Amino acid sequence: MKRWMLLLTMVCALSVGCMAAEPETLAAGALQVTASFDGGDAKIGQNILHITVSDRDGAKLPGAVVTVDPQMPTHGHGSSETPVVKDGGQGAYTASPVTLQMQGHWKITVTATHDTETGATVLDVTL
Amino acid sequence: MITWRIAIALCTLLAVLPSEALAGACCMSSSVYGVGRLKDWENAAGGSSLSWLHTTGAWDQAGRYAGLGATQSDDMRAQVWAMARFHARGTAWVRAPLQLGFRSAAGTSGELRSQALSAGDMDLGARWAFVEVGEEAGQTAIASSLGLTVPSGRTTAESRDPLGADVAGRGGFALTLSTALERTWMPWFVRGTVAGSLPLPFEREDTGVWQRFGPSVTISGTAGRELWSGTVLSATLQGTWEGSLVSGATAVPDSRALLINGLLAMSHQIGGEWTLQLAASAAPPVAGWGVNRPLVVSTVLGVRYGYVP
Ligand SMILES: [Cu+2]
Repeated sequence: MKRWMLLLTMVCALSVGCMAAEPETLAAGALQVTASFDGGDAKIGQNILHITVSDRDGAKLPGAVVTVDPQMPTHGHGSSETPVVKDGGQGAYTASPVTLQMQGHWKITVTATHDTETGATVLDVTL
Repeated sequence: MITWRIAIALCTLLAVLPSEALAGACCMSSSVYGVGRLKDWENAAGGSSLSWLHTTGAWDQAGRYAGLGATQSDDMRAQVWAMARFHARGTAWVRAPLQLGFRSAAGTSGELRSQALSAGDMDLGARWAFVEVGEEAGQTAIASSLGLTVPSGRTTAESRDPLGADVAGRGGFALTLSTALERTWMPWFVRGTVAGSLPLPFEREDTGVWQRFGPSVTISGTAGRELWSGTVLSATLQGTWEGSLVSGATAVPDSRALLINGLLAMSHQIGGEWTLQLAASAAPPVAGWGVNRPLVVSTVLGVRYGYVP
């Protein structure tokens, strides 16, 4: 019995994890998150990321807690600086510095939480 | 293309040079590059080197090469090493690098520049010669080494530099076992080395997740020649194949790595126990010579002192 519960918990945890990592994937009730680099393309060094957060109906959502986590999965490390996210109002947020300190493949996960709802987007960038 | 032309020219030069006044087989290849080994009559040796490492670009996970563009990445690395004999067949060594990193890139607020001085990962190990070079004429020399890399350098997770100028270590201990076969036909020598490296798991400081770099195999072939008494030139081609990075309990997709590069080294005895060493290494900036690795062109200037009791 306990084993079944453990398995069920693991499946649930896995599916939540997968949802969080899928780019632009939204489940019912999840927040919609978009992100784009200032100037269009990401560069080696410090970048600015423009983020928007909307609710399930597409209404812009200020006041969300937004985090940005740049990682180089194939190198096994993250960014040398932690981005600071500023709420610009009307669902627009700015993260800076989004530091991509070296050439290669980066996965930048942007997560937004508002009340009990969350949403995420993942940007795949090759520098 | 230029690389091949240089290689052909070098081979021709090696072949046509006169073979006069040559040293014994035992010491020809001992000091040509890096820590090397002790000569028959030496009890200890030490040295230091200064390298300039210039990154020109990188190969991605599919082996495609891309240049660094407007970004600049250079490192100057100073290294001290020492080696001592503990047995007629056994020697132990230790090596400690110090790195000065220079980076520049076009950041969001104009040109971004950074430099940092950091201690690198230390190496220590022992070498055992089953058949020492020059011990018996016409026989292939065999020696094995066991090395340990100590993660004394700052890792990317510990770095706070926006361009990673202060990164000087990989994180985690690593064990390396290597075996070298060497054959001498005066004034030539050839050496083949196979090395297996096993990085040990370590906890990432930023995420708290345990990770382990993939085990790797390095195969290298060296051909060298004593040009004139006390001066040795060698060319090496080496390839390193590295397995997948493991994060938590899962292998990270597309994290396997490969690097094939060439190395030219020259050593010149500048009198008595002192030897001057010069080396350069590079790889062609084309697809297939690397996977998930930067292309680093390096030049090394070193000095070696051999202690005779
Ligand atoms: Cu990296």
